This record gives sequence, structure tokens and C-alpha cells, in this order.
Amino acid sequence: MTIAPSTDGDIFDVVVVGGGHAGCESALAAARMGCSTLLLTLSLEKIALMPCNPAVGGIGKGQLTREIDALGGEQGLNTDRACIQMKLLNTSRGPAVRALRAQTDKKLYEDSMKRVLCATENLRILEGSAAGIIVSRETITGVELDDGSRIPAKTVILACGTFLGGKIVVGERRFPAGRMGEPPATALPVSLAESGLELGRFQSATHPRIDSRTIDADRMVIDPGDEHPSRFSRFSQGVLRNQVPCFLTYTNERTHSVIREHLHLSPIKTGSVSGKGPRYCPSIDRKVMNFPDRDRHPVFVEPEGRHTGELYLQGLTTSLPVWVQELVIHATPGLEKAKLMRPGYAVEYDYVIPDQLRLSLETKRIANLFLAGQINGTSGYEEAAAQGLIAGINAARSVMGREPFVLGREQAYIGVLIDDLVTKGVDEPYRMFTSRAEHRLLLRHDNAHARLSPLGRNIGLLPQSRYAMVQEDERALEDLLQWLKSTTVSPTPELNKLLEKKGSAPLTEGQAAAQLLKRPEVCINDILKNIGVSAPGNAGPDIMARSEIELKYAGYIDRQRQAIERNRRLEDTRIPPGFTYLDLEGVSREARDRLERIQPATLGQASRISGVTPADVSVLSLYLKERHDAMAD
Amino acid sequence: MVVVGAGPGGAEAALAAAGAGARTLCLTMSLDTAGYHPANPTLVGGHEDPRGELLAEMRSMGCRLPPLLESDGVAAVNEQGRLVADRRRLGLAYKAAIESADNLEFRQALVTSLETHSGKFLLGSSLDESFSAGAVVIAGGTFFQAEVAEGDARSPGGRRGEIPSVSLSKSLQNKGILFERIGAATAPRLLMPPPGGSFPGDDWPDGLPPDGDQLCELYGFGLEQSGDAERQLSRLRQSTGDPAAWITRPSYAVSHLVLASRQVNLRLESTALPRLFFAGRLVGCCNYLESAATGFLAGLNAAHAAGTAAPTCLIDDKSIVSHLLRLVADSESRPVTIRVPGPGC
Repeated sequence: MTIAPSTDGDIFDVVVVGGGHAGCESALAAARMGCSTLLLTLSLEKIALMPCNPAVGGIGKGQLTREIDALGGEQGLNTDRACIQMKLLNTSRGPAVRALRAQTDKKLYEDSMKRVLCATENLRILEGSAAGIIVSRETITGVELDDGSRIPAKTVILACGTFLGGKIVVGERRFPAGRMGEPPATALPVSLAESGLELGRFQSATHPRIDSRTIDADRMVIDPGDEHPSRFSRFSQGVLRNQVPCFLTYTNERTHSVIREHLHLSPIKTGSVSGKGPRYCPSIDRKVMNFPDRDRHPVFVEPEGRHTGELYLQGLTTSLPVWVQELVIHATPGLEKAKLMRPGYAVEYDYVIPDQLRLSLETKRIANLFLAGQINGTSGYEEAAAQGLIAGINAARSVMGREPFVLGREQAYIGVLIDDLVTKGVDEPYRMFTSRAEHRLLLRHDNAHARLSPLGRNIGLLPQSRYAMVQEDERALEDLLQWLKSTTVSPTPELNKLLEKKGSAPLTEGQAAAQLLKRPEVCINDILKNIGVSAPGNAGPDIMARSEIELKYAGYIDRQRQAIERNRRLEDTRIPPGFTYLDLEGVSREARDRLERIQPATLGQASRISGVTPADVSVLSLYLKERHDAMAD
Repeated sequence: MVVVGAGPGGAEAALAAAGAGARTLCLTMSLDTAGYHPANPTLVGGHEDPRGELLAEMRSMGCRLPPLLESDGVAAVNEQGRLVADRRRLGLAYKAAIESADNLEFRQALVTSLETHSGKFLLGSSLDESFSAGAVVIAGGTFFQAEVAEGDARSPGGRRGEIPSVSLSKSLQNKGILFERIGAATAPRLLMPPPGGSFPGDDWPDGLPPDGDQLCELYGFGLEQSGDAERQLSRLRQSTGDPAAWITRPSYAVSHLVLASRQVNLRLESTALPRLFFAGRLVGCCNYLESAATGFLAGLNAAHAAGTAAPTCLIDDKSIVSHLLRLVADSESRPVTIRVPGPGC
């Protein structure tokens, strides 16, 4: 008598523990790839909850969400369903750093995801609390619930968020909690530690919410969203209407002096909060401490939905006592009369040190146990969803007896994310930035589907109908590029006047449109106007924008591709699984220890381990070659 | 004045008080569960169900629930007079109503103490906040010193996954207010059978109501049981004859404190502390409508006690509401209900 899909004797192929952003992607991917899947979570009401920011996307993160969409994941689509405002960021900067950011209606996001889950075949949902993992001979065999029930499984994905050993900290107060009002998971981290997994401790703070009726919008900058809002997913229908505005204000010297006066009450200062916090989303207490020269910090005031009065104060994360939070808020321009609806607070939690994972997100220690999301030391819904998707795919592939699906750093931000986590570990909650991706010129928002949809199709996750849409786009792009290459632009007086106006040199003779488009100042519409013809049939504005990027950045893109080729030998040289570094001579003890712990899959990954020098990599490379030659003989 | 709790009792109290002109603060440990209840989404069973009449009385009294039930997608009535609500949508409708009401502030806080000082109440929270009020309504639901039982496992909680309220009830006990412990069994939620299919088996209760439109669930009315999740699933599959039948939310029990008998009068005011009112599950109510109705009246009465010129709500002696109030004030047993008692109220 166990919990199984039916009484026929089958057990679940995949059990996902945790119904947050990682868990939902895992469960959907595994089920869509044909595995019988169970999503187990503490509360069905809180599936896909957004406990912090009401937004999805942003710099670096938006690229992750696009890639999830390209592969056949759900976050992009669900964000579009719940979107109340859309912005394309960094439009004035290069395409490598452009990203979408969507404000969402939180409740609609949750309910939409729930409907997708319940409409998915092969997927069951269960409300319950996992007390421990069941392991036999270093392989996962299932999950045990608090009430003693057992769920046998072929693979398990843990996506428990901040619930492991969670403690909330506000001012002097400290008490166990996974989130405000919710008890933490106390048995599960013990079970993980007993199975030999090493845990660390992090902390994260959330922002206060205030009542929208109590702000002075006139004193703040209004952000209405893009005039022609885009969609995250390539596959979403319809256009976003009736966008809801956000507001921007800044702290000032008065706000900062209020904070400084009360810093002695901040648990970060008193050290009452243990565990590293995120450097890139620091609480306002930390910002004022660490950046004393900044005379203002931005505070984004974001609605949490269309029908709620709650506004989220992005930029004012804090664990200062509630009465101090109110003083700080009231000392911020535009928020002088703001009424608090939810105080901010910090939560400390256990995470699993991610260098114990393979690039597939399977733990090295326990076969068929995968980990995804904040449990791996990341922060953010997008980072969590990306890991959830990969873990779900790989759990399914393990069930099907297939090799793991691993994305390289040159293929996707998802590849950068996972490689960073498992190769370098984390010493603070990890969030994605474009600067983490050395190949960011190739890993763009606009070409995510071109890069990854073929892979999504190959692994059987992206449906053919959607892949066909991507193929159509690529054909349209190819057609447009061909057309631009073979169409001559004549040096007419009108064209040269336009070029002069834009500060560009006039044309003296006819030139291929593609050539002219290489100029930074020239855009495709200038050319089309001049030729008096519209672009070939099926090229919409997105395709036209992509053609511009391809042509303008062709030189840089080629150089980056060449760099990747040069490194390919290193990147692709596989290190046999189970390779032991203990006998490796000529490398430092530190390097040997790190290599032994990480068990890199390739020389490329080995080169990224901290403590491993290029000289160490050379030694390893020679050693591998000798071994290979010896075996060949 | 302050209302503690934002379930149906607390939400109605807060809206009634603010509507009567009292500057009102509604405090709840979770803004997300405003107006929410985990119990039967069937609010009225049919034309014969006295709750139908209660709902009509609530409409004439001015409670918020009747119009909310008429908003888009919140509830459906069939020919037999059965009214089934989408609990999630109803909760969100209450939340939106509270957040847009004049005179009403809504704030997340776990109230941990109640003291009196110079004729006012002082409420403290788990995060050291402090609120003062001329009158207070407490509608704490199933949360007071509550414990969830799942199989043999016990954990503190007012509902599965939600922490209990312990200190406030102790604070009230210290003031001489008497409580007693009762239990409630929640019904399981079952996965809706695929379209066209239905649960086979003769003894299957007819027409289990759908439970919202989010997760394809049916409310397992009458199927409350003890035992761990494994056992419940096994029993369900046996009794329905469907090997793939599925429970999404296993049944569990909550044991919690409610006011003992004679702790409130007919105005729902504490017999120990003037200007302190109680409503909902705490006064022994069994179902959503009863909680909402008592909440509404407690809110109005508290607003009056706090000094606003609240219109008095005239209640006919022969009305169902009046009957309910008499049960709450005079009955020795707990819980109380206007219905014939059934499984899970």
C-alpha cells in the first residue's frame, strides 16, 4: 500500500517535491515527455506563488525565461497570461543586454499555472509534506511523507525553495518559518544531511507591501510600460492591453539618516541573521551601510495585480523592526503617508551546496536524485524555473535510459547558470547577469528560439506545432537576409539627405542593402522607404529587428564564434566518469581536492574550477592523452 | 476598532464596521487567505436548506457575501437551488472588497496579545507591533492553539501548511475568557474523473461539488476520514472500484479552541470583557454562511460600542439569524449550526 499512479503496480517515474517555480517546470517537463509524474507540495493553494517580486524577467533573467520558452517550458507562456505591464529593457544599448521584464498579476499567475498543471496528462498533484528521501544502495527509491506514507519513485526532484530549516528574522524577533505564516520543513534537511549531502545557509529578505490608496503618485515618476508591448513567449496569442503603471521614487538623505540612526537594530548589523545574503539584491540597510557615498537609491513601486491594493516596494528589502520600516518608508518621497500592508522580513534557510551536482543537476552522491531552484543556492524565479526545466528533462531522460541533456555556456544562459553553480559553487545567493555570460553576444533574447527550439524538439518536449512556428521564423529571416544581400540601394538624393541627417556618410554608388545596414545609424525602415518596396512577405517587425542585429553585429558575432571554436578542443575533451585525481602528479593539492570534489565532465569545466590553474589543466590534458593513447595501443 | 482575522467572519466584520463609519483595521496572519475557508464549497444545499433562507436574510441585513456571490464566476446555482462557490474566487473577491473599502485598513500581522488600558484595547503582534482600539472583533477561525492531525502525525497548525495562533488565546484566557477544545475533519479533495467518466460503484455519494476551477478537484463531502495519505488513497480506490482514482488533498483533522458556552451574549459581545466581540468558528459556527453572518453582526455591534452611530440591525425573533444567535449565546454544545448536523458541518 503505497502512493502510486494506480493499483496496477507501477510506481511514479518522477516525483517532484515543491510546487514553486522550479517544481512546476520540472513536473510539466517530465509529464510532457511521457513520464508518470507526481508534484508534491505543502499547499496546493500556493502553487507557483511569487513570494517576492511581482515581476518576471529583467537583465539576464529575461534571457533565461526566453530560453525556457524556446525549449518548451512554461514560464514565458504563463508570464504572458498574467502580464499587466511589459518593458523591453536596454533598448538604447546593444542587443546582447536587451531583455524583457514583465509585471504580473500574482494571483492570476498562480491560478493560470494551476490550470496548466491540471490539464497536463501523466501529471498528478498531491498536497503533503516530505519528511525524507528514501535511498537504497546510493540510488533514490522514493520519498516519505510526514504522516508516514511512502511514495516510491524512479527519480526524485527536490525543489523546496527556502523551506529547509527556514527561520524568519525581523529586528529582534526570530522564529521558524518557511515563509510568513507557514511552518518550515525541518525533517527533510536532516534526511538530506544523513544521506551525505552538505548543506549551507543563506538568507534572503523580502520587501514591504503598502496600500496603493496611500501613495502620492504625483511625487513619483510614472512608468506606463512599453507603447507596443512585446510577449515573452513566441507562442502566446493576443496583444497586451490596459497596462498597469508602476512608479519610481528615490530614497534621499533624510531616508538614509533614518536608516543610519536605526542601523543598530538591523539583524544584519547585529549579526543576528546568519547566512550570507545576496550581494546584488541587498536590503536597504545593507545598501546604506556599504554605499555611504550614494545619495539616493531607487525604489520601484509595483502593483501586485489588477484587483489588489497591494504595492510592492522594490529596493526596500529589509529586516529592520517593523516600526523602523514604517519610519523609513515615510521618509521616502511620495510615500510619506503610505500604510504598510505587509512588513518586510528576512528568511534564513538551508541550501544544498551545488558543487555536489552534475551538470544534469543530478546529485553525484545519490543516483536519480535531482535538485532544482533556490535549494541550490540561487535566487529568482527565472533561475529556479531554468533549473527546474533541466532537472525535469533529465529525470525523464534517466527514466528513458537516455544520456543527460546538458547545455553549454556557449549555447544558453541556462548553460552558464548550471555550469557556474556546479563548477564554482556559490558563496551568496546566485542571480543571473549578462556579465556572467562570456558569449552573451550570441546568447540573445532575440535568437533564443533559433538556438534552442531545435534541441527542445529533439528531446521531445517542444511540440511540433510550436517548432514549426520557429522554423517559419528562421525561413523568413533567411529570406529577408538573402533579399537584403541581393537588393541594391541606389544613391538617391533623398537617401543621402537622410544619411546626412543621421550623421552618416552619403552613398556615391549603389550598394547592397545588407552592406548599408551594417552602419549603426541606419535602420531597416530607412532602406525600405528608399527602395519603395516592403520586405519580403512574411517578415514581421521581430524578424526585421533580428536581421538588423545579425548584419550590424556580424563581425563581433563571427569573432565570438571563432573564440568558441578555438576553445572547442578544451571544452569537448571529455574526462571519463569516475576518473580519479588522487594519483595526478604535478598539480597542487588544492587543485586535486577541488577536481576530485567537482568531478568535471570536460577539460573546459575543469578549467573553470576555482583553485585549478591553466598549468593544472595542461597537466591533466597530457595525462588524459597519455591514458587515451595507452588504451588505444 | 480592530478586527482580528479575515476569513468570512472577520471580513464581514471589517466591512460592516467600516461601512458603519468606524475607522477600522483588519489584521490577519495572511492577506492571501482573506475570505478563504477550506470547507464545503456548497454554501446552500438546495431549496430545502435553511441556509438559503439565511442567505436571503443576510442580503436584507446588508452583508457583503450575497453581492459577492453574484460577481463573475464566483458561484453557481442549479435548478435544485444548490449554490456552489469557487472558494478561491470568493476569497479574492473578499480581499478586493476589503482593500477598496473606505475607512478600512488591511494589514498582515499575527496578533499575540490583548491588553486593556484606560478603556482601550492594546493589541501586540509577533513582530512587536502595537495597535490600539476602542472595540475589537476576534474571528480567529480554527487557529487557536490548533493542531493538525494527518494519520499519526501531529503538527501545530490551524490548517495544513499554516501556523496556529497560540499567544492571543492565552492572553484571552488570562482575562477570564473560557475556551473548550473541539475538532473538525476536513474533507479530502479528489481529482475529477476524466470527462465522460465518473466514479463507478453504487455507494458513491451523488454529485460531489467541483472545488474551484483551478485544479480539477471535487470536494469529497462525506468522505472525511482519518489515516495517512496512503491509506486514504487505497480505501478510495477500493470503494470506487477505480484503480486510478486520486486524492489531491488528503483528509485531515484540526483540533482547536473555541469559546465555551455563555462566553458571548446575543450581541456576540464577550460576557467577560465589554467591547470585545467574537464571531465565526470561535463562537461555534459550523459553516461559511453562519461565520459570515455572525461576523457581520459582530462588526456592526463593535462599531456601535466604539462610539459610531451605527445603524442598528433589527433582527426578527423568528428569523434564522436570530435562531443562530440564540444557539451561539445559549447552547451548551459546540459546534452549533442551523442545519441538521452532518459530516464536517
